Amino acid sequence: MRVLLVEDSERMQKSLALALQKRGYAVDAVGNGEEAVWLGSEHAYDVILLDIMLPGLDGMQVLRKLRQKSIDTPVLMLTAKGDVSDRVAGLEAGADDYLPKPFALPELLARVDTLVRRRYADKNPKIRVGDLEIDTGARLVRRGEEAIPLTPREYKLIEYLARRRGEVVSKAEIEDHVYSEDRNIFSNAVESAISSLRRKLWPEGAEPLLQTRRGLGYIIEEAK
Amino acid sequence: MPTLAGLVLIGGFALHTSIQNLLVEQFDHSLLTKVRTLTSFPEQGRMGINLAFTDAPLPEFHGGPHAEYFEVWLNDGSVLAKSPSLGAGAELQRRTGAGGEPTFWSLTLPDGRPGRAVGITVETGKPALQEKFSINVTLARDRVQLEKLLRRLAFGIILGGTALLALAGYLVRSAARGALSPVRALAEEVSAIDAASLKSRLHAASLPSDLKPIAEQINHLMDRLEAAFQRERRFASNAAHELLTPVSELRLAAENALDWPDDPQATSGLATETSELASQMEHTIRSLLAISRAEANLTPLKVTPVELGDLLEELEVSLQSHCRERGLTITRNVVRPLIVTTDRVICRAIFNNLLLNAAEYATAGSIIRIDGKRDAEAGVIEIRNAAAGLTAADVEKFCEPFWRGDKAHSSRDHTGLGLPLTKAFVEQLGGSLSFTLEAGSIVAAHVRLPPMERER
Repeated sequence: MRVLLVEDSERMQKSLALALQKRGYAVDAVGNGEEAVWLGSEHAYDVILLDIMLPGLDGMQVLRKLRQKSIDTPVLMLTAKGDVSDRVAGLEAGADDYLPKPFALPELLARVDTLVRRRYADKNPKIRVGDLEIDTGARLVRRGEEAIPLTPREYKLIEYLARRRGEVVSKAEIEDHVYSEDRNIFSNAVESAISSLRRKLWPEGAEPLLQTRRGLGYIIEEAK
Repeated sequence: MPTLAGLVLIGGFALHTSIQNLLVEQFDHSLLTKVRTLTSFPEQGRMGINLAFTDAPLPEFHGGPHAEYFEVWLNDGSVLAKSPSLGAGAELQRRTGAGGEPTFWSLTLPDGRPGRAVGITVETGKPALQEKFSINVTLARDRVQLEKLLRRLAFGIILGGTALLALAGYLVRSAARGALSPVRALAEEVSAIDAASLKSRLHAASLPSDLKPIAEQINHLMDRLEAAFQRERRFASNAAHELLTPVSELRLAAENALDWPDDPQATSGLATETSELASQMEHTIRSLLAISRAEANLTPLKVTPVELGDLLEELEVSLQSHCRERGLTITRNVVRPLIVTTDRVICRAIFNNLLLNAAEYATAGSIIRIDGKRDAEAGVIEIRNAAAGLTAADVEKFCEPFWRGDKAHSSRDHTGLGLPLTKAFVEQLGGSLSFTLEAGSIVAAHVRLPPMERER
């Protein structure tokens, strides 16, 4: 899952980006409103974390511009201004959630997870496809009763594909949502990760639920 | 109403008294006329003095329910005649007025009725015989009818007065109700204003002309109140941001370090960041405390003569390197001597803050101008610098705590408390500080420092 973090405090940007990456999110971080509008319009983020007090365009203006462009990415607003009137204004401007500073990191991460689930219409934190279970809260993958250890990248990939189960997901979409913009990814990184996932989740002999659609992308769905 | 009632009472009493006096006067006049008529032809006969009516007195003098009475005396006091109605034992009083004028008095008649009497002296004589004589006559009659009339009069006046008061009360009430109706409506409109509706204003144009000024003044008051509330909200909001942001940063960094103690990304620089954030918060809190102390006049002052020109020159020298970096030039035009008795340390802090502020925010390569003059006993210093991008509304907020030109409050080197602290210092020295925006985007700081009493 890919998150756009809009926060002008360098310290906070660094801390939040690290926490989100540890959680398994790909993170793009910017420090002003104009860049936030441009990135939010150009890329399909799963969640936008948006500070209100920004240089140039403030957070409320960024939000309004994104909504005017019909960008419906869930937005979680962050600010030290925790007045009821400020919260109401943010929610009325189109924010999906509002968290006043200072906040506990676990709470922030839980709210981000919730927004991501909501985006993919998953009310249940556990996603099941066939005998595969992805526990998005515990970051665990099981096949049947067996827990399958995955690398963080592999987990992000399977979670993203599972959230879009039944849909063909292109390589470009996988790169956008699973890999951070500032990382240099090799051209076959996605293929390599898919191959590794198949080996771990469906060892030789088992019918993999993760299929390749040549020229289109990948799809995970229950066996027919 | 009580005043009106009092006036009606006094008026009624006066009316009653004057009518009463008139009626009594008329009664007395009729008494006098009668007694004069009756005594107009006295004769001296062989048997003595004759009065026509004493020979054949009128029926009213014979007694009865409306009897009248008379008695006649000679000069020597002997009774010449009296009315049959008096009978043998009853007497009337013999009275005459000064200089022979008739005199009137009230009395109780022999039959117990209230009466009124007149006493006159009649002089007469036969000119041919050159004989002169005089008699005293008292004539009395009852005043029952008069009193009945007076009672009716009193009753009528009381009734009329009461009716008048009732009517007046009704009219005054109606008029007052009508006149007060716009006042009540105005009061209702004002009472509906609360903290959540400070934008409300009264509709002065639709009010009567005597209420318009009141409504307009209330609207001006509301303007000031709304501005004050907005300042307070801004302060609370900005204070929250300034104080909570470093706390948030610290908390996040600490949580990351606790969650991933072995990850250098989480732990490196944590100690330095903690120290920096703690210093930042300490600076903010100390500035707030300094403002608070200055506003409460808790800082002890040492008042001595201070030559402001020397102080400004000293500060200009200290700013030279910073100004050089930004290509700024400082010009000074301060009258000499410009001595004010004040606290030198606080005075220095004031102008240091103002000049640092000017040097920080002046457009690069521009001029900072310092002017100083005397105004009565006070020293007036003005500092001007070019500052693009500011509006008059921004300049008005310069001394609001935490206000910054950078709306995002991104810079961690400035807290937005320097100018509020400067203002608190100026006011502690009994002076005033204000800012204006002049043509050409020039911001001007105006400081007025009056002399203080020595050694406070």
